[in-house]
Amino acid sequence: MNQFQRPLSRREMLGICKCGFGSLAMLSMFGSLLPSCSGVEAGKNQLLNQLGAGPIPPGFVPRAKNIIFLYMDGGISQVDSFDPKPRLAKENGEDPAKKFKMDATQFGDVGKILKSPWEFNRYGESGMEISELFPHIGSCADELALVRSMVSNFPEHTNANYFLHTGSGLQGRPSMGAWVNYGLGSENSNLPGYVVLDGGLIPPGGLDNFKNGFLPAAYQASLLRAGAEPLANIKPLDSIAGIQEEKLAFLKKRDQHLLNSMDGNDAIEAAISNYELAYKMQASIPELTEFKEESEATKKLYGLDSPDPNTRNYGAQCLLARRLVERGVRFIELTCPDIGGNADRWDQHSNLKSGHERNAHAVDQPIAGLLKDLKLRGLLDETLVVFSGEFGRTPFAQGTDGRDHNPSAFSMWMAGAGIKGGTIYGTTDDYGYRVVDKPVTIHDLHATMLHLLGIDHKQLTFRFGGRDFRLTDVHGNIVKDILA
Amino acid sequence: MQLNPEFSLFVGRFHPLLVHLPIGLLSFAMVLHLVQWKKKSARLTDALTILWLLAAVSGGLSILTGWLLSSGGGYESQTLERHRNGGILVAVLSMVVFITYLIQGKSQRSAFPILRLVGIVSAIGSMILTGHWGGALTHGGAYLTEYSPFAASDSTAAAGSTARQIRDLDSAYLFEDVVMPILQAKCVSCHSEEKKKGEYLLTSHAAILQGGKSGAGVVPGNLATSELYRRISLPEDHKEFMPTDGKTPLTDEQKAILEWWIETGAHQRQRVTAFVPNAKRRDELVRFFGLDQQAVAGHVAPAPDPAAIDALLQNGYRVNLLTQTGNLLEVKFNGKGSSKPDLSVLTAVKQQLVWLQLENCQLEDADLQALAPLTSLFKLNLNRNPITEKGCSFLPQLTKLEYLNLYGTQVTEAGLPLLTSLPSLKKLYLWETKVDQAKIDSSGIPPKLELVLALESQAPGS
Repeated sequence: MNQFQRPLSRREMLGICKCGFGSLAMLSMFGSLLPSCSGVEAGKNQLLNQLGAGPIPPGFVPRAKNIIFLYMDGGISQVDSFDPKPRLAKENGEDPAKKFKMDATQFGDVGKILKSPWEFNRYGESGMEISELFPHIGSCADELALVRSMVSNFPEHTNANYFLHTGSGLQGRPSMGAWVNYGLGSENSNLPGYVVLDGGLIPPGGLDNFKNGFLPAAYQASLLRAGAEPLANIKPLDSIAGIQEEKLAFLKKRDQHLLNSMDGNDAIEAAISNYELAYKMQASIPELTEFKEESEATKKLYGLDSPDPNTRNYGAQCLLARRLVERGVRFIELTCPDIGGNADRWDQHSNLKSGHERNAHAVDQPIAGLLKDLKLRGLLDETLVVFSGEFGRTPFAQGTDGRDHNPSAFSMWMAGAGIKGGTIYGTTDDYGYRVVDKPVTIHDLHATMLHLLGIDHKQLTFRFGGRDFRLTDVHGNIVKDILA
Repeated sequence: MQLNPEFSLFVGRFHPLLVHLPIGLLSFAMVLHLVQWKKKSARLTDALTILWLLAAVSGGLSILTGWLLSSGGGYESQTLERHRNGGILVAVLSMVVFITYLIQGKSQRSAFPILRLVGIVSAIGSMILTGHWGGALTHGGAYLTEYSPFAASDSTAAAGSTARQIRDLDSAYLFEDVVMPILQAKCVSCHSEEKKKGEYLLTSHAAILQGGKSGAGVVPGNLATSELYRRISLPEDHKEFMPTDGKTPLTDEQKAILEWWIETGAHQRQRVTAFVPNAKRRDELVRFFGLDQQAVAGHVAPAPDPAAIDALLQNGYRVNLLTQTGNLLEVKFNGKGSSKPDLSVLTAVKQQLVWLQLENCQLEDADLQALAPLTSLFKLNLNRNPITEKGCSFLPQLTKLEYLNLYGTQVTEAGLPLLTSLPSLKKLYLWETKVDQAKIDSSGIPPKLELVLALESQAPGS
């Protein structure tokens, strides 16, 4: 609450500083006795100082340098994608209430047991079973570690989204991308460290899914839109370059003056650095979003030549994600393309078949293209790709041809840095309704992601409101069995 | 009489069962005594006579089995002694009280009333103390008060139990992460605040150095006068050997680590890297932490020369520390296809340099000669440089190299035998090179090496 700051009086000044003066004197008297000031440690700090501002080294040797989070907004149906359940076909049309105990669903319109409209195929040397919705992702099966035993705490989009993104079902906590940048800093001073590639759909819960929460404002996500102008005003408005620079220099001078007169203020400092970054981004963003130097073969790999505009849209986002990885952006999240019609997100409360098919067609080839392209360039070795929704769907119908929300079981996969490809982890019951073996929580997922970045999730804390906060709160176990 | 030791232990293990008989009997006797405090009852007195006899007999049996049990060893001897004497006292006092009743039965008058009262009170008192010492023997002295809200929190004792997990050698502290966990596992159970055997505490750096009854515990840099080291390195049957009483001795590996710590000055806050262990020490530590022998996690290096780092920064390199606390370096040069780095400045950090990225830097074959001395490299990106297999001929000394990215270079299949013979190589990237997939001799490729050449279409299997 520093809004009404006034200059300090002499008394206040001395009152605040007395401990500081005392400590300074203490340090000069006994400093040499402090273990952290002994030769080797001093040398170490010096090395970090010498390297200057830049990325913060992690606690231990990292496997991953970057994360691409492919967010499957709305909740993919696990029994139609990555978790085959033959029993659903056998008992199709029967009353689920006679088969198992059911939880209340979001809309309550419980229908009959609904078999998957899609066949499952075995892929790769691992023989991983994936539905025909994802033939391209299937061709990368040996790179994937598939977790079939995910559980969430919330059956509703907004809370489940907050939970997946921030580790808390309530609004206002820092997003995982913000935590990662808080922990590791940015590799690239011309681009933000946390970028959300907006495919057209902002998830329920809004931008709070991507915010910094109580972390410093610099760690929030920057949203890049698909298309010609990914950011507003990314092209300089002044036709003469020098004029803009002069304007910015003047603004900075005034801001600095205000900052000095207020004895420092986080919001003003953030504004100054934001102007600087924005100016740098006017140069770096157009270069980033131009695909001129990409070969036709590469563009084709991502499906940029697809007749489906949604595939082209998501393909461009995936290609952009790779280019961001190459430029050292730590955390990149892709939201889903806005397909429109009855296929809003993966949230098929009705029309499961056409809705899931259209969504899958939009993302399948681009995601597989991304995995393969990263692999060929040697980037998959240091990039973690995560594919997840916020929850799963029910194995029984909502109405006749939809599925309702189900937080008790869903599937997700990871690929790339430090991941043991071709692994399947965890099991659901015969209907794919609940997890029966090795449940993995959202906290476990976050702990594992941080672990791969070289961060101990228990050590990454921020003091706020009187206590140390973590992305994983007081939970989180690393899923060791899927790590290479 | 010499019993078969196994049989004596068999009988001895009935001790925890039998000890509860005198405890129950004496507690019951106490209730009866209270009941007839004011109003004597002959029937209760009869009952008490029998109770005290039974207490004495079961006490005797407890002593016998306890004696046999303690012959197996492994008990803290001071507490054991107290427990034994206390137990004997309980049985003897019970016998005394019983005898007073016996005499009374004959004379119909209270015999030795004072003696009986003293006997009863002290028997019950000794029983409580003996029981407590017995509990301390089986569960440890801190068991009872561990979760007491009034217990002083002992940060040094807790430090060992919450030892942080070490994931790479480069960031480990020698004392805190290596020496303390060893002592915690093998020595602190007796040399703690509670027991402090031989007046020697092993819970803090200062106490370890200071020593106990037998003199200085650890003399930095001097193995010969360090009592701690002498005790653990004696022959196991020597009477001064530690750990004593048949407890698990230190392994050779653990002894070697303690030896190394003392020799290097027994510092409290120095990292393993401060001494750059030789290969043997390194292996000991890698095994101690259960790290991957080959991986970068098991690599250690001394602090780099600040002047060498300055040279790198001035030459346009980006320099990152791989971990917050270690010395290992990741160095990048972003040539953007137009500028070429000066590779000669890299030699000065060759011990620390584990990851090197030189993508799109216009490097040619001759330039790669400068990479030959960089033998600590685990990961090397040379992608999109106009180099051929001639340049790769400078790489065979990079015996630790696990990842080599050559995509977008001019390398042909002729370079493959040389590259695939790199002993540690796990991933080799050859997309968009001149390597002809059809001409690759797959027999020469080690099974652990993954070649990434081109897109392979994985069709759905059966």
